[in-house]
Amino acid sequence: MAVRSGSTPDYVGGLRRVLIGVVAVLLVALFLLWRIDNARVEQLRVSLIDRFVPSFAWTTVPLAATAHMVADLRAYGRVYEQNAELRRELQRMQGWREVALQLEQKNARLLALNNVRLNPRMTFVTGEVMADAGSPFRQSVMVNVGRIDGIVDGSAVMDGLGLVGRIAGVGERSARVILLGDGSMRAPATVRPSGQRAMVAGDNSPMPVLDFVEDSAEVRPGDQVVSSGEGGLYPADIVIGRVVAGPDGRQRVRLAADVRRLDFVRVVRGLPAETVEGPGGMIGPVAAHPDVLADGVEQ
Amino acid sequence: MTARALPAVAETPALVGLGVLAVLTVTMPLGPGGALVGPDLLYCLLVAWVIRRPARTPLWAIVALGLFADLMLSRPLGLGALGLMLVAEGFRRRAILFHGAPFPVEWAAAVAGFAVLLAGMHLALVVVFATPPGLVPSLRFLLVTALAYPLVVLGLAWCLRVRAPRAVSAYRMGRVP
Repeated sequence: MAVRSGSTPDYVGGLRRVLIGVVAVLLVALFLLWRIDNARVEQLRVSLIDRFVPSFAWTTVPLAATAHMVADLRAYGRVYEQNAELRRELQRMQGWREVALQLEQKNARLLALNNVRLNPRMTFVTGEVMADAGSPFRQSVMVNVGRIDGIVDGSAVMDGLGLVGRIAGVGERSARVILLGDGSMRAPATVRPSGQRAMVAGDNSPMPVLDFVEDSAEVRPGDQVVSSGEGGLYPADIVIGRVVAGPDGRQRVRLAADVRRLDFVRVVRGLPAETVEGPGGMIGPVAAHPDVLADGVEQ
Repeated sequence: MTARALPAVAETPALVGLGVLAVLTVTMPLGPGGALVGPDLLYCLLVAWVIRRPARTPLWAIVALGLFADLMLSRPLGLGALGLMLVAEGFRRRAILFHGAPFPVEWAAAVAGFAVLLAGMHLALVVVFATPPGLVPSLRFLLVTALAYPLVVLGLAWCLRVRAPRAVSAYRMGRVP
């Protein structure tokens, strides 16, 4: 009895171990595939999320709404101090409002003088944040706008104030936004007012590092960091944040965008700028194109 | 024990359903992008389940839930499922040890298992030259998951009556006289 009951599970256990080994090898292969051909696997991931998340939205939305309500209720507790704070802020803002009005008038005057045409091609699509990455491996969120809204891979994403990140992975109706804090994010930036070029590099912390500064002595905490538009990834002059001295002594950027409380984000739907490729026909080497010359002579 | 336990047939669908729910709960947009990281509820659920029902937790369910979590939580694909499966199998083999043990022992073991899982994933990511998550977020993740584990166990034991049968009966029998 004891022998029989002892031998049968052992046999099953052996088979089971083989099965576990096979599955483990398959999973390792899948992991290596993810590492090698990341783009295609991420595309698969996005298409799956695209299929699943909208249909599950009704499950997560009430829960999230309840949690928000609880947080709001908690805010009632300190309504008095909030009120005082708001009044102080309002006072300060009124001062700023005056400044803004004056600047606006001045700007309008200068624009009229210059006859400037602003770039009309930068438009936004506003989307709602559907899901969080939910793990410390990636700082990303899903938004409910996708290919049908004209979003392409690499579009810049902002909230009301500043740059949030960029699109990485587009589905039909949803897209994934990698946040600036993510370890794989680099954004070319300009530091004002010194005009230093730098790179805002995420390192999976809330405040990304200011890297590759030309002359870091010129950059002080409190300086404004805006996107420089180099490389064409981000439009120029979008506010990123302010320089702060990090606890580890490195210069970091406190983001202007409130990435901890993203509700709605604006995806920049910029059409690619026209690029000039090669010399124009008139300036080009005439001898190389005799037919062009001939056409010109005939007319 | 008047309340009915789950019938054995319904256990696997219940596990899969709860697993999907656990993954979706974590993806709720409460504090996107912030340092606030939700607990790995799926890990808690699977470990608690496999300790209580070692013979009735199918391997395919563990792997499928792991892959689903990998896809939804944008973790390295395959790695999370692999770690989850290996840890769950380890607990399945040692499940009998926990049946008589007090809960803190099981809790400590589950947390230790999760620490090993995180360390293994970290190591695997370093080996293939991917960017591993920082130390502080990982530790916070471990802490939050450790705090969530008793709640998951409590939920399983009270709502679904998923308990280790022998432990309960031995405890009851010991107390009767």
